[in-house]
Amino acid sequence: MNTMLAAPITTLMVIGYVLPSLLMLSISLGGAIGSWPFAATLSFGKYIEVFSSSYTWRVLVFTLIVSVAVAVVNALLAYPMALYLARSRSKWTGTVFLIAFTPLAVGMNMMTMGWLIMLGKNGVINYALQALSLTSGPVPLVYGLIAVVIGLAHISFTFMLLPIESVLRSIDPAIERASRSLGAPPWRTFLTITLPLSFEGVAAGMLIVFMQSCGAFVIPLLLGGSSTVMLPVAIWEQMTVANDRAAGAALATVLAVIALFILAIQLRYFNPRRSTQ
Amino acid sequence: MRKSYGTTLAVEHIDLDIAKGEFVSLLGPSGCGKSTTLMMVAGFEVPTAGEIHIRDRRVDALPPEKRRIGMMFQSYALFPHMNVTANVEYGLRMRGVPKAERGPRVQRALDLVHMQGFADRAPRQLSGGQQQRVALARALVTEPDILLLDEPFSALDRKLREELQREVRDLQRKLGITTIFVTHDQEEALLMSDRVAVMNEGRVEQCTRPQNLYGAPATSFVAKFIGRGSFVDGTVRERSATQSLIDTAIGQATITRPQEAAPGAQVRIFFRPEHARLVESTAAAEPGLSFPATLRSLYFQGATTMAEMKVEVSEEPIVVDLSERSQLHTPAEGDRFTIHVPATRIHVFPAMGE
Amino acid sequence: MNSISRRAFVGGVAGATFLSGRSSLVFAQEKTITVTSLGGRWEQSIRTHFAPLFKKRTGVDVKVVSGGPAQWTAQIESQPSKPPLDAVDNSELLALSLIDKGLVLKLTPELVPNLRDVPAQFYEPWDSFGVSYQYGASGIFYDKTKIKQAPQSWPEFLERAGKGEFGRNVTLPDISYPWTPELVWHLAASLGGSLDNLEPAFNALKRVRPYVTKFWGTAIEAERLILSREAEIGWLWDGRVYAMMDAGARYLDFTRLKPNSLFSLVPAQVVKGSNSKLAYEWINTLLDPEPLLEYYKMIQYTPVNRKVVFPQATAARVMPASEGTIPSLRDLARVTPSIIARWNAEIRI
Repeated sequence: MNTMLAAPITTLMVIGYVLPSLLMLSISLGGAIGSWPFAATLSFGKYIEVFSSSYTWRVLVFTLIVSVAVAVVNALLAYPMALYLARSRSKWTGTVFLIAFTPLAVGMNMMTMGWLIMLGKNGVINYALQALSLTSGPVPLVYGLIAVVIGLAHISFTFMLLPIESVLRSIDPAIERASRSLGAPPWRTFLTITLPLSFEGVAAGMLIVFMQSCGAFVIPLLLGGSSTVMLPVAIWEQMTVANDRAAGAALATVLAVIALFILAIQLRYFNPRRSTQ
Repeated sequence: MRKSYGTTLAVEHIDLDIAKGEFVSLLGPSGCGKSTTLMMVAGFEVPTAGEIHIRDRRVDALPPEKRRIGMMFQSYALFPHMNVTANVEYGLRMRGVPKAERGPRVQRALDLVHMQGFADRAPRQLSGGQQQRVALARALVTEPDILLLDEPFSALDRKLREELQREVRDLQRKLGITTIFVTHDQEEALLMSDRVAVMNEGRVEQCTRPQNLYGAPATSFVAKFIGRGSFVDGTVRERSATQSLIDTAIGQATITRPQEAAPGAQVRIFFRPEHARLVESTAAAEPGLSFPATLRSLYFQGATTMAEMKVEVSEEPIVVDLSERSQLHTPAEGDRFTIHVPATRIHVFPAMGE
Repeated sequence: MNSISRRAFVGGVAGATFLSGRSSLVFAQEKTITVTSLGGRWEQSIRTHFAPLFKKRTGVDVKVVSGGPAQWTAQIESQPSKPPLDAVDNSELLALSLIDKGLVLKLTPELVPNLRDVPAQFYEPWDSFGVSYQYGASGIFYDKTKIKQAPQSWPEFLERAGKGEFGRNVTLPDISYPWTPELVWHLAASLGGSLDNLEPAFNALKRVRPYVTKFWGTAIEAERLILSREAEIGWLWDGRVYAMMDAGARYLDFTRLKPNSLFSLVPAQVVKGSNSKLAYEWINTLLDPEPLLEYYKMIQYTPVNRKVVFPQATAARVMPASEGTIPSLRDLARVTPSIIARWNAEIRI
């Protein structure tokens, strides 16, 4: 019975995801476009070619570093907000929650435009900086690393906030009271009790944000410059600019491997069935 | 040790003095303010007005971590990411006790609660009772001025609860530590406490030894909350130095306990089931209240048998203890009896609404 | 009944039915033609100036597909027996790719009469397997309120930009923009280099790089950079800049630099397929002077048809065909991968 219920989604996954992935893999291994997965001659030549270029390594390392940075930034930004939402009983929590959801509601194009207006040479931030005489000329904020990190952090903020808030909420408030009754002031209670207990939520959030950032396309493309090329943008360029579809497929396979790796970590450590507490 | 409390919205007015080494329970239905009071003593709630003193030190401006208290909670609240030893030594760590000293003190605390062999276990590997014992050790190891218990046994099953009640009480007596215990279970309160403060709607109705609460309830709420009994409305007919006469729908009651209601006042009289006896005839040997009643239903409870008696003038049944009588022969429903309550066992309270 | 025999009558009716049925079948098959267009105003012009004229002449609807040459080429190559496009606007190099794969047809004056009025330089590079119906000229846009003295030549522009004279306000296209390899050659050539010696261009670009606010990937992005005043000077096509100026950007000006300008050519090709007859007619419409004039007025890219008469007001802006240049396309195709690799390694850090 259960297999019957799973049939529709499985079919969808196979047709829409598994088969195209196999096709992509075959293209990267030398198969022609439109041919059935296993072509006569398969070789790893394209992978060797792609990975012997230092540019590829630069893009890959940059992608990983930026994704980690975004995850860390978001963890630092989201934690206080999550703490507030989980603990406060004020009537403003509903509004704050709504605000936390706005990155999901607003489309990526709108967000990008918004940040361009904020960060541009004649944008709001530069205007304020110069009006307050903090800088003499406009500061280059956009079309570089700063704008990409800001944009990526913004779009995935909600996915960091929710797991942390959920875990914090599930901590028995009596535990924090117990800690204080034993002589630990609030900051110490936070460091020795609350923070370690919320680690699972933080880690879950960071994994999600990392994965999203690795796969980000629009934001690095529009907010970044040519020195902030990330893996998805490089894939697109192989397809459209260099016209080397096999190389694009090879890079795409690498990206898929990264995503699967993250997924494996998630399943191993954060499987909800495991913790029966 | 002396304490006086203040006022918040949940707690209207409390004024309590607790002696050193005393075990006092705060007893009452939910919403009566007992937990809020405990939280004020602990420091998690701030009184709107009033003072709190622990051991001649005024503490109401101090945060919980500075008050030298030990607490236990209904959910045990052990730190799940630390093992038993780490949990118990937490308080010592926080107060800067050097490592060398911590070890033996933790050992002693675990010995006290009979959890010596569990030093390395994680909380999730322990049963509810074991966790609560560890929580007790954790609370006591820092030698606090006062122990605060917030319904610690509500989550345990009956046998375990009784076991832990005994252990905690014994330990408390041995250590002589002042304790405030919050519960909604009157049996528990009566069993463990030196004094019980019965609370209702933010006020203390009566705070005294358990025997007094049972035998001499100060208000109709206390009478109703502690133990069982029946109320009957009446009017005072006469009052003299030695006794009062009260007319009720079921008969005239003679009261020998001193009471304050003047003739003409509306009152409610109260008596407990075990003091209402079956008599052969209405010719009463002693003063009190006699009335006819019909047996409505019988409740066999092992050691006791209670009967619901119906009287003609009201729908409310009167509960009577028939344990002795039912040993001889089981009365049947519909049997008519005469019930007699001795005068010394009848309490008088003002009528409702005053 | 008169002299028409019953048999003939029936036969005639049958025949008429058959004929009308057949032509309606044919009509249904050729009811639409699928063509491509680059985006923005270009597409607007295709839809408002060229498509209606085509429909008037042939009665056939025009379906316009947007996207880009890489996409369209990929689509054609992946479905050679039944291509989803009948005519395609291609990039200079990808046009060669389709020719080599035999997926496009040769254009002749018989099939495309307007070809007679087009200079050979606009179809020779593809051996008549494609014709560019317009051309743009490369040059420098600049904010004339900020930059009083515009550079006169390509070397001068590169030198002044490389010294930081314009501040971090320069823009250039990124390697992802289709014409960048040609740009690299053009800059090298103006500095004394060639397709096999691009060193001068790369050196100059490396010096300019710190002053580039963004290397843009699409012309739309370039326009946005200009209109939001992020960029004050940079490389772009005349048509696009003039269009922005006419739309109200008064601070903007454009100039072509010595020794010459790069052509941007967009060869239109007929895809080998069932609709090729109509596709020829479409190319012919693209070369027709009437809609081309409207196109020019809208986009300001220069039509190739000699018969087009330019309005007085803008005639001075038009670059004569003789002042434009492109490299040998086959050689460019050979060198492009190394240009891309070198750009990735040296410019993109």
